[in-house]
Formats: sequence, structure tokens, C-alpha cells
Amino acid sequence: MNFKKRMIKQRIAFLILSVISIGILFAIGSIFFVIFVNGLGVLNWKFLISITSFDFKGIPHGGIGPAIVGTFMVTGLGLAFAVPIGILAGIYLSEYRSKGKIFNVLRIMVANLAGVPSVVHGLFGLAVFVILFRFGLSILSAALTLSILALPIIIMTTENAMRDIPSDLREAAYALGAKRWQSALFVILPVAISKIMTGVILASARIAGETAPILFTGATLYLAHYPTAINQQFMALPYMIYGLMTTSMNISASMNFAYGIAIILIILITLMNIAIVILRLRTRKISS
Amino acid sequence: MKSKIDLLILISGWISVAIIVAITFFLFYNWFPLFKTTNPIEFFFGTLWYPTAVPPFYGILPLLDATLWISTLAILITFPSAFVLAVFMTHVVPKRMQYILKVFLEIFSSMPSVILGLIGLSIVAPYFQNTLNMDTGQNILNAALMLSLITIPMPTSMMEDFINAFPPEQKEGAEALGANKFETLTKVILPGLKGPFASIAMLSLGRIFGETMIVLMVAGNAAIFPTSIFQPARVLSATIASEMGETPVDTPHFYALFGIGAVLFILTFLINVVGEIVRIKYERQMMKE
Amino acid sequence: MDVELKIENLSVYFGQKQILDSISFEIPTKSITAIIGPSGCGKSTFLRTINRMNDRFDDFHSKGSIIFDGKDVLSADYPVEELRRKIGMVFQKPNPFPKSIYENVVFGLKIHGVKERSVLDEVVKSSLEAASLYEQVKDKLSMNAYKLSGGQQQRLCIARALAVKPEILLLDEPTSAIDPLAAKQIEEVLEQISKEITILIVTHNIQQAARIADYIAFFYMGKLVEFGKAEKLLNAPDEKLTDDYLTGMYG
Repeated sequence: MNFKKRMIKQRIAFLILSVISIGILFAIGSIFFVIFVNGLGVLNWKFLISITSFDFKGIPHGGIGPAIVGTFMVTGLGLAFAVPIGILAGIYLSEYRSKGKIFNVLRIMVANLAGVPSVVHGLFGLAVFVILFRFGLSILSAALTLSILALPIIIMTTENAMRDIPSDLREAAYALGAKRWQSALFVILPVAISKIMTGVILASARIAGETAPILFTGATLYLAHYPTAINQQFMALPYMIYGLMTTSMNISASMNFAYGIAIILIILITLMNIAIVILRLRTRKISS
Repeated sequence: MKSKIDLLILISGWISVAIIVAITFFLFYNWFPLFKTTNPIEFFFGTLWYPTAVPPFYGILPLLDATLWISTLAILITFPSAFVLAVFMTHVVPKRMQYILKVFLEIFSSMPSVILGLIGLSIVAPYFQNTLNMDTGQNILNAALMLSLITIPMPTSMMEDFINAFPPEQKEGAEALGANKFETLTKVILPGLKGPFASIAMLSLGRIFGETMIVLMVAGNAAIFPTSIFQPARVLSATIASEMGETPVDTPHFYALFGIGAVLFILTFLINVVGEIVRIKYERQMMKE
Repeated sequence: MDVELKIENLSVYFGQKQILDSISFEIPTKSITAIIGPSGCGKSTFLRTINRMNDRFDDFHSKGSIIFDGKDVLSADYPVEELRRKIGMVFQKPNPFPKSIYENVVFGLKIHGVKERSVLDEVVKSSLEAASLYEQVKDKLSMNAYKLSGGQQQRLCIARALAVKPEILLLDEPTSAIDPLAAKQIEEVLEQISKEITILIVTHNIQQAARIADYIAFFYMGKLVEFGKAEKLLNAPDEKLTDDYLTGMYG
């Protein structure tokens, strides 16, 4: 085949690729656009801080205050369980058992835990936290369930972040008589912490947006007040979108409300992602 | 000479194993009482899922069938799209743009799936129904499209990493022989990445298989055997999500839903393990070369 | 001469591969002993066996004994953290922690439970002085150690090792990654501190060994060929292998 023909073939191939790619990216971009167009109308301060109410036609009024607080509470509490355990588990994989058969088994288990469908986590939470431990339908049960979703993300990022630290720092600590945990916690962890933070933020973005695991562990569509204790049921942003779209008697009136919530969720998650990008740039600077 | 902290780290290190074991145990523990009233053959091969009828039917075959339809269609859309996007990002756009697109896709991939459900339900479904004259807009195609959109960023980003990390000396070898970028891609890079791409496909499938909210909201929720992608369907995960909330504890229906959870758990586990085995096999091959 | 370390019939293996073969000699106290030999002769492995840094490799195992204070440091019940407090180590590449200069020096003390601020302050001063770094950094002890030059970082690592008052200091080619001027400063530091503690230094630089060592051990292919007073071994070695190495037959 001559040179020109091959060149033209390459051009055509890349052109087709580009058209399809731009199409997909356009579809994704238009999702953001549609959400903002439909939801901006309901956004104001009152929407953020008021209690939700439904009139006799099932049309939602007021705001999403309790749902925002509920989402923050389950996410925060979930992280409080998952972060310390996840970091220690990551330390175990990178500093204590960094190779060999058992390491492979543990790592595959972490990967598998990350692959468990979220609705199955919901079933597990129902069976263990709600029924067996008698925590009932509550913020506590939901947070514990969500913490199991967050765990593998935190374990994997911690392991990778610690593994990336050059081993001469470990040797320096060991040579001074440091025990393994002292080297891990006092020398390696402080260096790896900003990378680990990206995993923690990633995990919080993930669990803040989850619906299936909280469906039957404590979330409820309607609550006339802000949550005050962790043994109460709670409203949550993602569950509210689902509830408004599937149980409302007036879908079109509920729709804009749902899009308003979607905007809030997207803003929250975008902020978290920006934090991750900044952290990554910072760690890159430090290591270079 | 183990300190308390060592012990704490050890226990945390094994927690993922403990949780996997506990999940398995509790799914089966809450499933098996079903077989006091329902024959296992009826559960696995029964063609009717009418859990609240009198007498109730707990056959999961229609749910399995629908899961297969939707997942197959979704992976058929997701995988080629992700591949095309990955090539576009690595071979067509400039480096800076590649980074921006990567961040953009990353943000999109962390979007809660319930939002995609919202879009599918309030925009795509009416469009299908009113403009394209389908019988219902809440159908297999709609669910598969929404599922693909939310899944695409993950395999794209992984493929992109693999293409970027492809050994430069092999690339240069091809280029030195006069191959252009496209020929290097199709004749050298892609054949070399068969293994990782297969494992990426399995991982994406695992994701699609277990995703709940989108199918729950846009697939139409009819427990029938679909004959075309324009029909509604009801999958395993969505059945649990929509029914568990109203099911009393320790009833056959409750047990049956845990049974569905166990089936879903085992299937995704198998998909992930196959993906992992493919990946490890590929790594071995790389070592030999 | 007093004996600090008594090495008896030491053999070391990584898996099937034997790295050291029946090494026996006695290291004199409060002096500098240099270990020389071509690369791959096992001299670094030997050094890392003394403070058991090789323990963390699964396929590492050893025979024979290293007697220190009347006890065999290689026996499994010898507490390894205690051993490493008494036998410090400085590595080829400077490896300060990414912490302040102050935190670097006190790290060893802190993990061994010393908390009083006044004690820590005093040790920071004396250790940095011993490593002749104090004058240069006394006003910026809270500065990150990574901002120091390579030679300063290596002297900080020496100060860090000295802070826990070791009886022996092991150095693994400590000047090979830094410039010659900084290397000379470190040699002076070593000569100074050898009045107080025993120093064991691995070097591939024969001139360096000639400048600072009181005793020299020559390793070749995992075996100890010759050990003796520095002037004797350098000028009139007993073994032909030693002579060949010194006259440059191995490059």
C-alpha cells in the first residue's frame, strides 16, 4: 500500500473516532446542562435551609434542609468508621504483608469488596445493623452500611500511597530502632497522607451519592424536622430524588424539585473532585 | 513482641475478608428458610415472580433474563464507546486537553446514579414515548443507555492509562519501520493490550450488573420475559430495592429477596474473579516476555 | 585492644544463594574499621547483617554468630529494636525524614520513649555539634530537612544516628552520593567521633580507607581475605588477592 493511501486511511479512522467521541462527550455535557436548566428555578436560600412539606396534592414545598443535614450526617459518620480502619488496613497491606500468597488473597478480597453491588450492602446492613444489632432504621445503621462501601476505596488508596514512598525512609526508621508500626505511623503515613486524603474524598463523594444501601437501613422520604440523634431515621439528598420521582402524585411539580437537589449534589461532588485535583497537584510538586 | 497497635493493624488488615465472609453468611442465612416453603427448582427456574399474589410465586428466571438483556446491551454500548474515547484522548487531542477531559470524566463518573435515573425517567422516557412512538419510554434501551453513560468513564480512564503506559520501545519499533500512528495503534498496541482490555470489560460488566437505581427508575419494572429492547423489564437488583422496604421481616418474600441478593452477589463475585484471573494471567505473560 | 564485636563463622544466604562464607574476625572498640572490596563482594550485606536490617527479606537466613556485649545478636530472641538503638546506621544515599531538622534528630529518642523537652533540646545540640552541623543550622532547626544540601543531609543522618547514643555506628558508603568537599567534612566528623564510639564503614574508595581507617577488612567473593591494621594491610598485605586489588587489578 502506498504512503498516501495509508495516510488517508489514518485520517478517516481518526475522523470517525473523533465524531463518535465528541458525540459521547456532548451527551455527557448535555446532562449537566439539562440538570441546571431544570433545577435552577427552585434554587434559593430558602430551598437550602427550609423543612420539606407536601400539600394535599402531593406537591413538595419548602426546601431540602433536613436532607442536606441527613446526607452530611451519614457521610460524616460513615467516614468516621471507615477512615481509621481503612488506613490501618492499607498499612497492613503495604508495610506488614506486602507480598506473597496471603497478600494476594487479601488484595483480591479488597477488590471483591469494592465490586459488591450496593444493594447487596443494603441487604447486609439490614440483616446485621438494623435487625441483629438492633440499631433499627437509623442514621447509625445507614452510616455503618455506607462505611463498608467506603472501606475498599480507602484501603486501596492508602496501600498505593504508602507503597510509593521510597523504602530508604523505612530503613532509616528501622535502623534507629523503630518498630514497624512506628515507622508506618510516624514516618511513612505523614508523607503519604495527602495522597490518602484523595481516597478519603473520593470515598465520601461515593457514599454521599449512594441510594440503594440506605433504602432499607434508615432513609425516609419525609421528615418534619431536622435529625437530632443518630438513632433516628433521616432524609438524604439522593433518596429524595428517587422518592420524588417515584412516589409523588404530581410528577411534573416534583421534577423541578428533584433537579434542584441534583444541582446541589453535583456542586458538592464537583467541589470534592476539585479538592482531589488540587491535592494531586500538590503531592506531585512535593515529590518532584 | 507484638504491641497492641500491631494487633489493631492486623485485625484491620483482615477486615475485608471478614466482611466478605459475613456478607456471604448473612445472605445465605436469610435465604435458606425460603426452601421450607418453596422448592429450590421453583426459585431458580420458576417463570413467575408474583411475591404478593395468593399463592405467591418466587421464580427469579424472568429477573435473571432481564438482567442479562440489559447488561448485554449496556456492555455492548459501553465497551466500544470507552475504547473510542480512550483512543480519541490518547491519539487525537493534545496532552493538555487530554488532562482536562480526564478530570471532566472523573467528575461525571462520581455523579450519583440516581441523577441518571432522574434524567432517564423525566427526559429520555417521554422522548421515546412521544417522539419515537414507543409503547413505553421506560424500557430496556433507556436503562441500558443510562447505565452505559454512567459506566463509560471508568473503562475509558483505565484503557487510557494502559495505552499511555504501553512500552515506548515497542511503539518506536513500529514507528521506525514506517508505521503511522493509526497503524501502530491497531497492529502493535491493541494486540498487546488484549488481556487488560478483557479484564476491563469484565470489571465494567460487574458494575453494570450490580447497578440498582438507574434500572429501578427507568427500566419499567415489569417482571416479564422481554422479546425486544423496547419492552420494559425488571432486573435482580431493582427487585430487591423496590420490594424490600415494604416486606415484613422473616416472611418467605423477605427470604426470597435475600435469595436474589445472594444470586446477585455470587454472579458479580464470579465476574470480578474472572476479570482478576485474566489480569493476573496477562501479567504473567508480560513477565515471560 | 578491646573487642567490640566478635564475628564467628558467619555465613549468609538469600534463598539458595550464598552471599557470605564463614566470616570470622574481631572488630576493635573505639576505632574506625573500614571494609573494602570489589562491588558484589558482600560487604554491604555484612554490614546490614550486624544490625539485622536484612531480617525483613523473607528469603534471608544466616549461620554463625555475632557476639556483642556477650550476646549473639543473630539469635531470634535478641530484641532487634534494642540492638538497633545500640548499633546505629548511616546509608549510602542521605535519607532524612521529610520533617524538620529538629524532628529528625529527636526521632530515635521519641520512639524510645524520651519526652522531656529539655533533654531533647540538649541532645539535638550535642548531636548536631558532633556532626559539625550545629553552627550552620542552629537558627533554622524547624526548617524541613529536605532543604539542606546533600552533604548537610548526610551529616544530619549521622547526627540522627548519634542522638540515641549508640555504641557502634555502621556506615554504608556514606560519601559515595555526595561531592568530594562534603565527603572530606564527613571523614573529619568520623575521625572525631571514633574517640567515643566504634565505627564500621563500608567503602569502595581505598584512599578514603587509607585516610581514616585504623583497621581494614578486605572482602572478596563473600569471603574475608584479610583483616589487619590499616598501614600494614595497605602497604604489605599478606595475601596476593589483597595486593592485586590494591594495585588495581580489579578496576
